[in-house]
Amino acid sequence: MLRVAVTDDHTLFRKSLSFLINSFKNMEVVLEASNGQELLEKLKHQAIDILLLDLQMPKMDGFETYQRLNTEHPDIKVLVLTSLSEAEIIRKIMELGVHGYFTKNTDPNELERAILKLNEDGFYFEKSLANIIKDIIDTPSLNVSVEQPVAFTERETEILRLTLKEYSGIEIADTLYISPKTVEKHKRNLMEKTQSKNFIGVIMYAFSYNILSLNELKN
Amino acid sequence: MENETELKLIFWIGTSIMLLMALGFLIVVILYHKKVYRIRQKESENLLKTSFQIEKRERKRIASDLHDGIIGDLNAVRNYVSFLYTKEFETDKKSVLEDIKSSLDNTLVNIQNISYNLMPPLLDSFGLIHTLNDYLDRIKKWNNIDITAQYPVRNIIVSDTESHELYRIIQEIISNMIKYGNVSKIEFHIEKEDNKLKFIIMDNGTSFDFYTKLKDTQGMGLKNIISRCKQIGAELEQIHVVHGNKIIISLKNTIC
Repeated sequence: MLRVAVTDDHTLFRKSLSFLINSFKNMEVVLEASNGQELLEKLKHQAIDILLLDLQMPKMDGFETYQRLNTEHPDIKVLVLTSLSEAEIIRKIMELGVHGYFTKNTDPNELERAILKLNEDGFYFEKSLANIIKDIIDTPSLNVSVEQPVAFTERETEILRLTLKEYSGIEIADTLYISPKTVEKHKRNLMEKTQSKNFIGVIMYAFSYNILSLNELKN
Repeated sequence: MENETELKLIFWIGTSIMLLMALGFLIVVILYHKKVYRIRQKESENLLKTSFQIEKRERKRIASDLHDGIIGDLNAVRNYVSFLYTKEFETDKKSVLEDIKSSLDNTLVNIQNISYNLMPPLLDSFGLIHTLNDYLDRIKKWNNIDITAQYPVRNIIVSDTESHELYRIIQEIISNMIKYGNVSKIEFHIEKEDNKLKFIIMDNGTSFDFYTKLKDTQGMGLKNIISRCKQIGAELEQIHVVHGNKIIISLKNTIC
């Protein structure tokens, strides 16, 4: 049973989300909080696997909460929930190194898949991101330093491509006739190479330096 | 004879005193009018300033009420409908739930747009440049217009009021261009010159003269632009070009 926490200051929305998640198989909401401070307090008594985190909250907002969590509970996988879809906000979320983000506009049924993927692969990459990712990359002068991109090997690119096609670690191993452990090793290497905190960072990096083309995301 | 000269003298002295008094009276009246006019002008400027401030505050309030309250509620309803939909097996009920969901989706998009138009959410937290960037992206997508935007100056320091008014001015100018100018291409960039920040907007649409149009009674939008410029001490300048229009908003900025 996956232990899920929901943090959102809008009570009705939080309740509806918990209700929905409890209706999914193999997962349960064990913790609800209306802001970051309350969440951190409750985490002292309750362990969780997955956290759904709203960005705009009073007292302690999502950005600050995430940074605190990163040092205090690095094992928790965080899915950022947001009603904002401006490129600038998503860029900031990506730079934080969260494991995934989910816009409140997305079909609620997609949420089940998002939580499962987050648990299995350690990241979730929303499809609608394809439309906005171009904006993020088109204005790179904001924060990214201009440097020579590191080279990806053919095998690494292959793994990246299959990951984007939503293949799981085992499926990738089967397709490429290698062991799942080797796939994991390649993924870890990629994260180190690109200095990313998780695999989303690797994907963003690959798009920014045209190692992958955006069309692959849309197909 | 002596009496006559004396009388004449008295007559002239009397007349001059009368004239001087009349003149003095006239000067007092003129000075008084000028002063009243100045006070009135100051008053109307203050009134305008207050009304801009109130407008800004109210826009912000309504936008955040919509964003934090209503959008959250509707998202919650959407979650519940989604739950019912997955648990329902009767086809006609399922299709009703589907219709409810799609109307909810439409309402959500509409409210989000209204909220954005009232007050772009990035302005306070991410500043003017990011907000303009986002705004121009939206215009590009919605209107199918080729927009090139360049921001060679990235770190501009402007006050809250300045960034708000600048955003409204630029938004008003661009939406006017699109509405009346038959525009297919817009260029926007920011320059720094001496102690001035310059926001330059160019289009390839029908040429018009800003200050002639301003006298037109219909030019409410343009009057609004001028009042907003005055608020923050910015100047609007139109450069005549062969094709299209070029408008420069310059703001005195000592910090940048």
